[in-house]
Amino acid sequence: MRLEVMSAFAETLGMPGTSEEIISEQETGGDKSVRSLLNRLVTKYQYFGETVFDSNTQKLTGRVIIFYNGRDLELSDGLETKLGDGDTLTFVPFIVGG
Amino acid sequence: MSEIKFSLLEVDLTRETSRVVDVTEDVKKYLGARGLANKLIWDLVPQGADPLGPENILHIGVGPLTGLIGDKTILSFKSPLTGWVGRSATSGYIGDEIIRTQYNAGILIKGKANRPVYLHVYNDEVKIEDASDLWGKWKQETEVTLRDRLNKQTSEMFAVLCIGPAGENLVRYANVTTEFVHSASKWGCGAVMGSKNLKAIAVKGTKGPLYADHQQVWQLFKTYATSPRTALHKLTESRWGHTTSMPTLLRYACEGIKNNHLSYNEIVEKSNHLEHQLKYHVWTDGCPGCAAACFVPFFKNSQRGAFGGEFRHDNVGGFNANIMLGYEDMPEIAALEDELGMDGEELGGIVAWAIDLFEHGIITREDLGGIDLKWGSVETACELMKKIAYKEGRAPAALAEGFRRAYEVFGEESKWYAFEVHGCAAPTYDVRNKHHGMGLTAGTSHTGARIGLGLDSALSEAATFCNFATGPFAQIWGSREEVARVFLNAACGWNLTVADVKDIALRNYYFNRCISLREGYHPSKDDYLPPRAFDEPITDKYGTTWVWDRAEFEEEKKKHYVKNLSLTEAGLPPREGLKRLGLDFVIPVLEPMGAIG
Repeated sequence: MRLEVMSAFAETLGMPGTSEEIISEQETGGDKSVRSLLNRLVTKYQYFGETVFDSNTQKLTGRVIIFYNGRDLELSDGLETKLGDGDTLTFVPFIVGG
Repeated sequence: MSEIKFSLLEVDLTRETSRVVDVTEDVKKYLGARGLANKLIWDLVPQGADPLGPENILHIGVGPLTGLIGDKTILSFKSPLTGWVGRSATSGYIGDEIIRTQYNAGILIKGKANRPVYLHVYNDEVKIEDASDLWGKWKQETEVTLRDRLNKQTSEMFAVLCIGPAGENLVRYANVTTEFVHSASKWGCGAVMGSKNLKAIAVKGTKGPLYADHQQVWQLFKTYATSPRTALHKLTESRWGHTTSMPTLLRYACEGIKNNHLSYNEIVEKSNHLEHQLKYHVWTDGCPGCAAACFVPFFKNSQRGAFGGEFRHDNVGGFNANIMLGYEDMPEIAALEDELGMDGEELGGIVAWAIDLFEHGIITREDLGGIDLKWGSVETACELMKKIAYKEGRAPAALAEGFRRAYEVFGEESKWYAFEVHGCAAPTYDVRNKHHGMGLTAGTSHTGARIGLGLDSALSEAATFCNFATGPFAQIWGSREEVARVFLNAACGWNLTVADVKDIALRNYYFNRCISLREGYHPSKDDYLPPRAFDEPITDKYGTTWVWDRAEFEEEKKKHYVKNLSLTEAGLPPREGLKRLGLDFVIPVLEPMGAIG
């Protein structure tokens, strides 16, 4: 599946350089849920835990919007959404105001 | 490289005269827009002046960087809603047009016209023109009529800033709009314009901006425009605009639900801006020179009509769920807000409060001029909004005056239902939520219940630059202060350091606060949260309950004043800081009021 992050934002997460990363199905982890993927990404990228997902509380920080195949992840099964080949997760910074 | 001069167009509506004033020395000290306006308000508006009287001023402010980093125009005035310093911001072409007239310190409006007028500024041609045919028109018709008329006269397309009926009728939270949906909304700038019989300001500049080093400015701008960071920044901003946060904020019970009474509720799942965008987003646009291009208007046909507009956090957040409506019903309300000309954030709290008061029998159908207000009703909400704009009926007329004056009409029992801080509605960024909410920021704001007007904005609203544009700039140059330093030095011919820039920001923040202090604001009595922030907990979708403890809030306030606002623990500007920054002239005025730290 494809993991997509805005480039400048990728640096904030500790992802060097690229804005797009392909994750193999094995990397999605155990039950292939978004939750298990996020737990693995917390260990892979330096700031992912503080910015996106707190693996201690198993909750999203609420600072990032996650799209699953172009739509709000929470409209699917949220963190329990199952991921498969061809799926795309997009992480977008949380913009307020205006 | 020589320094540039800064010129302020000063218009006296009473005398129907205008002149150009050299304000270079003040701009060097305060920058422009809200920075310069602090000085103008302090010097020109007598303490205690009626904000709706001729002694108030309205500054249409641009700064040295307007149009380079987004395009923000800042309106500054004494607020008719709070009686304190007022400020309001808009985007769009108006700032760029003012810059191109080379009135690069903006336009200052004084006095009051003796009939409805509009101000015509076409480079050096400044006229006060009759607006009797425009008075009474809703905003879109006003803007289209005026732009069309001026285009026929000059072959140019003017930028127009205008008020709607709410401004004409002096609703204390009336706003000012350009390009139909870019609104300067906060604290009643529209009422100030209305009080001066000023229906609109039309500006066209063809001279081009004044810069000390055009080549250097161009190189800086090219660096921004061609950066991959800028291109990727645009992908988010221009696809989703500024309500990406809304679904999250609603799930965290951070936007008001049923007059800020309810915890997470199913209405939240009918309030998804991301879905709304997928269905109704029609195109993307941006302000001059800004790659973020975050203007994302929608168009929706419905049984009640066709409505277009743009959802921003400030015009629907704290409104739709607060009156128990989903996003499908908001296009009509947002369009009406725009046309009548009122601040959506204030309306979101005021209308919700009115429904609550009606439900509890504190105001009646008769008070409302025949409306049976109900939760989740587009029809009755729209009826009430119209009556507020025209002050028709006992209750709508009172609601048009804002919370504090409405209490005098509705009585003590109405107060508990009001979710306000400093007399201003606080329906958004619920003050109880300590994670996503803004209780400390709103509760300590000298402009009235507003987030985001601390030290950062004291720089951005004087330079001016748009916070939504600055992301890639800050990533390219390292920090907002460094961005400001580099661009100001190139544009103005100055030699600022980052420390100088930080001092300008702090000076402007203190000065802005001092104006409110002079007008009677004092943190000891005014910096509070609504009682329900302490007595009515709310729980978000994820099971966290939010509420403040009173002692905790008092302690956190002190820390916030010192750490984030560079004030004393009492929330006052420190004497030594004022002296160091060249603001010692405020001390003799504020010290007898107990307003110096």
